[in-house]
Amino acid sequence: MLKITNLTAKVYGKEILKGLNIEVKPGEVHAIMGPNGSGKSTLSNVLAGRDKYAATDGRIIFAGKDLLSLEPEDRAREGIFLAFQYPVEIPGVSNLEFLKTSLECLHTYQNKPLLSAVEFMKLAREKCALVDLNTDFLKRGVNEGFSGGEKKRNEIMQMLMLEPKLCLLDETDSGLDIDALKVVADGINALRSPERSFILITHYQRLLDYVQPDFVHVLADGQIVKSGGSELALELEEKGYGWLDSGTEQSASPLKV
Amino acid sequence: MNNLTSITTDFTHGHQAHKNPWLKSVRDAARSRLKGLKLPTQKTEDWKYLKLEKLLVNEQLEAQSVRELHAKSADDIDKLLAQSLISGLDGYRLVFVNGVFVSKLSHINSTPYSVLFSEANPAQQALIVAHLDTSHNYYNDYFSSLNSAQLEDGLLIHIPQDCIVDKPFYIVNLTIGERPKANMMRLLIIAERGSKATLIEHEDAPLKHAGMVNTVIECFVNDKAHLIHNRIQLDESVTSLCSHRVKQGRSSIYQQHQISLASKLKRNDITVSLQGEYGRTDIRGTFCARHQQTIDTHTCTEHIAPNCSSNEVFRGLVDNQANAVFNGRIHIHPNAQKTLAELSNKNLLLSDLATINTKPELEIYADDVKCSHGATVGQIDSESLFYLQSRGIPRGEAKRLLSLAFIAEVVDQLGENSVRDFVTQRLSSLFTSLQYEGAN
Repeated sequence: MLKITNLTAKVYGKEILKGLNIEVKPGEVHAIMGPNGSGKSTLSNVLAGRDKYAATDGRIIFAGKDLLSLEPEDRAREGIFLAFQYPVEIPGVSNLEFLKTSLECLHTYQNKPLLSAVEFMKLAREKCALVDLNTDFLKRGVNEGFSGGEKKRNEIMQMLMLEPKLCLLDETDSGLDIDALKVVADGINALRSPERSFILITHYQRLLDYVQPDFVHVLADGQIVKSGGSELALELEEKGYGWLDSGTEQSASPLKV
Repeated sequence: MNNLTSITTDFTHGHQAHKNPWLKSVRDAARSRLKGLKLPTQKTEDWKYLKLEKLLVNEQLEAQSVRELHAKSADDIDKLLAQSLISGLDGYRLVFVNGVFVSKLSHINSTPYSVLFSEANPAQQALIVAHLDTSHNYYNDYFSSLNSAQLEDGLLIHIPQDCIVDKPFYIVNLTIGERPKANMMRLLIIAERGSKATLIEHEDAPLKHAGMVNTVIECFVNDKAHLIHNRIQLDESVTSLCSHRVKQGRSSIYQQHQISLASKLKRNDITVSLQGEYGRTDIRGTFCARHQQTIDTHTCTEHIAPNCSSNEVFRGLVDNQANAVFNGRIHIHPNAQKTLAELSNKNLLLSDLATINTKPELEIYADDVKCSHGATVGQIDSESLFYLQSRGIPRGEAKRLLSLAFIAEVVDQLGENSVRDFVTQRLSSLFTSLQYEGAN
């Protein structure tokens, strides 16, 4: 589904990703962990196509397409979804209008029939209930005046609505209390299927207690320095990232999964 | 130059015969004012950002007469009207086409408190003459003098004391026909003590015909009266100049909502003078300019009496190579202690070639007042844009949503649902066709 080969990327002229390799197959859940500043968010932003996050070398193939040549909206239409670390507030655009426009754009591109207004509302209410958001929020501006937890739940709600092929969750678990964390995890688990893949970027083991990953990668200084199964996350939680330093040199040629 | 000078000369000599001789004193006064006036140039401070001579080439400043209008087929007008009206608005409808009242399209018989100048009884005539051109200092106002000098007819809405009008007055002003003569709209609103009324003015050009409108609106909001004035200018093909003056009495409230689409040239001068204590003025407006359009909004709030408050919010959207001007002045006179005045103008430039000149002005001669003013010019927020794009919304559509969101604060506060829906729909379709070339 997603194959990243030798990716290097610069942010404001500074090289952050330094030859990153990863492959994600349909149905897999990958967790990417790593210390602050290692390039985790850069990776998600490069994948989603944010300005200023420029890939300088390497390739990203997503569903058979050269992802780097696509505009952000086309990446979304191809099935990539980024749950933002810091979702923006957009006063004046209602959640309803936003979701409806988004869904219409995706369905048109994917040659799916458009939902009627009634069908759309039914679906939106249903997904709101799944993430424990009051349906009143649909009438409010996008993320306007939302608490941190509500913003994150709104990201998951959008993910449930749009049913992407690849879900990138950029520290969706940070800043959440334990109840909200469970809601977010339930949302992710509800979407798990043999065709859909996930990349969870996280600092903590907490989320992985609820969402069992197939693979855990450690990103350090712009490269994947260690990969393993879900037990690796537990090991990191226990020992921190320090114990990896000694191993970094051996895995200078990036690992493949 | 065009024929502006010759028109002016004709009026000053008073050769033309006019209807309604009782208005002669108003016309004569305007003519004598015009003798001392010239078309404003860029050397005139209030007009410095407009190349008027160029913008007015080929424009007609001579008034359309009733006879010329009647030559047109009324059926055509009926159809046009049907498609340009605000549907679902239950109001007292008064329709003007090219500045001339069309009774068969209006509810003139069922509309209370309204009369055309030409049909006014002697008492109303006296009232009209006593009020016209008295709300404002017009010492250098060229275009409103031009309107007064050619004054043949107009609309008086006179709301009696303590009367609360049940439905809004819906005043439609359509411009149709290729290059008709100038539409010299004249409105006189007198809200007597303790009365309350809502006015919805709707200017449109359903066939996108070019035209020229020179409007003068005068509102007298007397003690304890409350006037809500919605003004919707959607005539993008029409060159329009408007002088809009409001005089407020003690404890009166005047609320204005203005939605204006630019055109080749659109100029709005709004002057409110708070002459009685505890008056309140609330003005919310938005202007949208695209292509090579020009729009210029000048507002002036004269705080003359103490203990009054004014709040003014204008939002501007400027795209392509359009040119917008905003000048908001708050003038606090020496006696106007305990004044509370706020003014804010925020603008969004949607293209590298769009221009906005904005200037908030405070002139304070009292020492115990609270005033704030501010203006900003910005671009679409790239974070918001990326957020929408990352959900599959194309860049152009995302910009459209964000542009509409920027003016939503003003549009959403239009009190009447039907008017708000109508405006939202017109603005949406307008922005669909916006070209975002060069926008970043």
